[in-house]
Parts: sequence; C-alpha cells; structure tokens
Amino acid sequence: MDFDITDPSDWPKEFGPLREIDSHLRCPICKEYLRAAMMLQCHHNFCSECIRRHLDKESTCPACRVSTSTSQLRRNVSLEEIANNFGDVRQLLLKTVRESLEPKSAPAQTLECAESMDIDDFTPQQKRRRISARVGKALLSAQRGRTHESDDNDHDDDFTMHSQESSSGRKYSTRSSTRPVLRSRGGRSETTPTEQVPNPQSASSSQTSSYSLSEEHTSASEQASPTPAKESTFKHTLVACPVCTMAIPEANTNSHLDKYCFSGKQDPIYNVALSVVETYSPQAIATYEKDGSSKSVSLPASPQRNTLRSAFSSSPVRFNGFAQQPSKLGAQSGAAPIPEPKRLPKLTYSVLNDKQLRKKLQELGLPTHGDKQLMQRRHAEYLTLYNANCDSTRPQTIAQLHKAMDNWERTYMRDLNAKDAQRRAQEEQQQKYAQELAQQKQQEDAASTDVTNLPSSQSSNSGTTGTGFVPNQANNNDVNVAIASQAAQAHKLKNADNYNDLIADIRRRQQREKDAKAKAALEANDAASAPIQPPPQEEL
Amino acid sequence: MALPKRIIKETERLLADPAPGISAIPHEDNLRYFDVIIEGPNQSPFEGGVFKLELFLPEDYPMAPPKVRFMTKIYHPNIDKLGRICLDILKDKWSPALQIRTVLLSIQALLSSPNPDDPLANDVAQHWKENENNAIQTAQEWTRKYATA
Repeated sequence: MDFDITDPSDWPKEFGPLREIDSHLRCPICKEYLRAAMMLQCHHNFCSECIRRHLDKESTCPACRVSTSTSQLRRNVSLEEIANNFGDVRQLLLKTVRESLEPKSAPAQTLECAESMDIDDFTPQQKRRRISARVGKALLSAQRGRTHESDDNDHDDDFTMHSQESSSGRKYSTRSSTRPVLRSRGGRSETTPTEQVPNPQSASSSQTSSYSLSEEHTSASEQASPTPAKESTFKHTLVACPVCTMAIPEANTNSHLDKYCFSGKQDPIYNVALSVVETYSPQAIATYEKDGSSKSVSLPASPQRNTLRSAFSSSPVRFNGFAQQPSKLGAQSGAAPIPEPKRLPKLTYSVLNDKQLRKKLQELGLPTHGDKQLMQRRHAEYLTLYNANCDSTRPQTIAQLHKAMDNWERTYMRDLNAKDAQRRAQEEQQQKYAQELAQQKQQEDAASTDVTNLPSSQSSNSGTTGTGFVPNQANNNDVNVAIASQAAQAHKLKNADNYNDLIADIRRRQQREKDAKAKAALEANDAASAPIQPPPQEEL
Repeated sequence: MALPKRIIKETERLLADPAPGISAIPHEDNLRYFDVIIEGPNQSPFEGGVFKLELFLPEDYPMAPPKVRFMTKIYHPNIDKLGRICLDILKDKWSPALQIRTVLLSIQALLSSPNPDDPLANDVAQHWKENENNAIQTAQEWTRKYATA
C-alpha cells in the first residue's frame, strides 16, 4: 500500500493559513496537488488529467456546474509551479513547522530563515521587537485578511517565540567578527552572496559561520537561499542579472545591462552564473565581486557550499523533465522557448471500424489486440494521459506514458477478469437457484400427484418424494412437510461450497427418483407392504 | 484492483474527524463498502433515531456517484420502502468534487427537510402533502419503532 498519503489536515491547526494554502493547491477531484493545473472559464482549477476525464463524461464544471468543454481549458502555469514547489518542500516545511511547536527542548530549526530576518548583534529582546515588527506586521497582516481573528495572536506568538529561540540557538556562531547577515531578498536570484576579505582572525570563524548556516539551510525552505554577507556597511553585493542570469555586483547592474545585455553582448568581466558563484568559497566570491571572473574563477569552491547547493537544487531538478535549471527559472522561460506539443484530437469511435481504430492505435505505438471496446477504451485513456501530459510543465516522456498505459492495460484486464468471474459466479448461482426451483416444483408435482392418486390407490408410491414420511398417511399436511423439507434441503445446498457437489447430488436424486418411480410402478399393487426407503439425506 | 489514494484519504478523514451525527466505517474485506450511521437531526421527525445505511463506492468513483441506501425503515417522502434515496447529487447532479462526507451531510439535511414535491414514496408524499402533522407523527412513530438503538 502507498504510504504517501497527504492531506491539508496534516498541518497543525496553529498554522491555519498553511492548511488553506495546501487545500487550495489540491485538485478537487483527486485531492492531490494539482498536476498540470488547468483553469476553466469559471476560474476553477483541476489537474489536467482529472478534468479531461470528467469532461469526457459530462460538460460541466465539477465545482460549480457551469457548462463548459475541453476547448475552454487553459493552462494555469504559475499555479502549477506553486503546487509543484509546495509539494516539493512540503515534507521539510511540515517537519519545521511541527518542530517549532514542540516545547523548547531542542533549539528549533527556523522557519523565518525561509522568510525574512536579520541576524545582527541585537539582544534577544531587541530582536524580538524587530522581528515581530517585521514578520508580524508585514507577513501576517497579509494573511490577516483571510484568516480568523482568533488565530492572529497565536501566529504572532509563534513567530516571536521561535525567532527568539533561533537567535539564542545560533548565537555562538554569529558572535564572530564576520557576522553573517541574512537578508530578505524575496527570491533566490536576488540573494547576494558577499563576504568580506577575511582578516587573519576571522579565517576560522567564517568557516564556522558558513558551516552552521549551511546546516540551517538544509532544514529550511528551499525557496530562499540566504547566504553569508558582510556587515550591513558593506556596499557591494552580487545579484543575478535579470537578462543573462550572470552574477554581477548590484551597483554595476545598470551599466552591465546597458553595455552588454541590451546590446546582445557578453560581459567579459562578470560572466559566471550566480548559482555557480554561490558555490565558491567566500574569498573567491569576494574576488569575483571585485575583479570579475578572470581572477577568481580558478579559485576552488568551498566544499560546504557545494553540499548546500546540491541540497537545494536536487528536488526541483529531479522533477524537471526537460529543464536543467531550477524550476523557478524553468517557469519563467519554460513556456516560451519550448514549443507547445500538439494535443491529440478526439475520435468519433462510432464512425470508425475495427481496422481503422487499430491503425490509429498503431500510429500511436499502442497495442492493437482486443475487441473494439477495449481498443476504444485504450485509445481514450491514452488520449487523456497524452493531452494531460502536454499541459504539464514537468512532462513525462512518451516511454513513461507507454509504461503507464501498460499498467492501465494490466489493471483493465484484471478488472475485466474479476468482473467476468463475478458474473460467472452470479450466473452459476442463478442456474443453481433455477435448478433448485425446478427440483422443488418437480417434487411438489410428484407430491400433489400422490395426493390426487390417494383416493384411487390408497398408499402406494408416496415414497417417491424421498422425504421419508409414512406413505400411508400421505395427505395435504404431508405434502407441505415434503415441500418444506425440500426447501430446507435446497437452502442447505445453497450454502454448499462446491457447485459440482450440488449437480452430482441433483443428478443422483433425479436418478433415484426415476428408479423409485419405476419401482413404485412395479410394486403398485402391494406398495403398503414395502415402503421405499427414503434416500439418505445427510450424505452431503 | 488498487484502491485509489483519494478513497484512502477520504476514509482516513472520515475516521479521524467524523462529521457530527455521522459515522462511516469501511468493511475490512471491502474498503469500498461502508457501514454508515446517521443520527436523526434535531427538530426533525427523525430526532432521536439512529439510521443505518450502506454506502458503496463504484469502480469509477469519483467520476460516478457512490451508491447509498437506507437499511433502517424510515417514513420519508424521498426514501422508499427499499431504502433507496431520491437525491439529485446521487444521480444526475453528481460531481467528482463531491465526496462521501458531503453526500452523507446532504442525506442528513434531507432528513431535516423532506421534499414531498419530488417524491419517491408516493403514498408517503401524498400523506405529507395532505396532512403534514399526521405524517410527521407517523414518521416519529416509525423512528421510535425502527430507529432507536
């Protein structure tokens, strides 16, 4: 069984807005994070696959029942990216959130690290004020509009509480002469890795701080990658050029853009991507910042930074089928440069004969066995998968789609077989029941014949009912008893496990009856003297 | 056949956080088959009653609606003597965005507000229309008789 079951209710209730976010990023049909989010005209979003499946059957929005069709589907790329990334970071974030709610025992890994904070030489008291001012007002006031009033105090407390924890937990490392400054820059591309050229005394301590920071990063959200910077007096910072994504000092941005990027040239000095520069040692970054790549590029990268980068980049890249860039860049550039794959058109199966349909399947590289119904279903299924895949920003390869189809085929066959077996069992049951009924009727007829025969030939062959009552006293009561015991017998047989037993038994009894009748005919004259032994009933 | 994640998820939520007055427990041998208990809503003729239902999730759920049936006898214009329920979302108004919980809540709401203008049990609906008080009395009697635990 799959243990990867996630639900908005996983988030602690103290973090109500996270629950809200989580549930809004899920498809109302499959309740998973939106895969290839598609928006309808009524602005409701669904997984491409789910809504396509639904629109195959109905032409209304599942959420509001407004009538719609596949032609109205529009990709909602940013929502999909949000859902993808939230899904990627979910586990980590959930762990962080849960830890932040635990009692103070361990120094909490920080959530704010992912959001916004400064670590300076403030006392915890000052810090608390600062952060509650910044985080509390700026961040939470945004949420306040949507959340319950009662939640607000909780949130303020939460944030201030563990910002305090985090500062005290980190103090030993921030007390060095190179105080790392974590800055909020809204996004990875804008974070500014800078490091003062270390003075003799800080060589070791800068190691410490970068180490402790990298530890925090791995546990914090991957969305932000705060990097060690110099004290706030330090003016030069590296940023990613919005056009060529190379790392350039912030102050040079405009000249770099005017001189190179907008005229289509390459900057000869700053020509290393920011993500690469970030993997350098602090010294190398500082050198790069000052002199460009010519001098610093040969400097070795610091091992800690490397592990840090890989920890951050692993998850987005892993899912990104075609883009080697982290998914964020993929989102910006993904839609434009990659040509939209063509959707497969729907077929009107009723006008296709088997041969044509088989040809269509062959063209798609799908199996062509089975009757028309199976081929039709196979084609429809592939159409849904394929077209949904076209909508995805993380599309699968055709081979993966075919593998999914193989899976579908297996499940389909298994279900078919199961259904078949079920149907057969049902039929058998019915057959059995019909046979029992017939048997019972036969018995009844026999019994009533006996009854009608009674006046003419007293006694005689009532033993043929095979139910073992005394033949001489046969009357209506006896007939009823006979029927009842037959019914009881039939019921007992109904529960018999083996159907063959039943058939054998019925044959045996029919045979016996025939024999008995023959015998009765023979002994018609002196039946009363030799009542036929009733057949053993309990032999089953 | 593998159980879709959505069904597992719904089942977990139903067990962990049941809706008030409603319980749904899956059979161990068939996780698509649920034993449901709905308490008669307050201020309805069914107040105090405990109604058993069965719910089955067909193979193409959530694309197709669940099948629900009352097991306990109930005097209601929209529920016939076989326990079948006349409720639009169980038929043509089904949407895959609905779920077990919402269906059961709808049924609970149907108990609170019988709709004799869209009847399934004609005689009951007739009774309801002609003499509502008397019909409600009958419903209360049936609740006492058949639906008290």
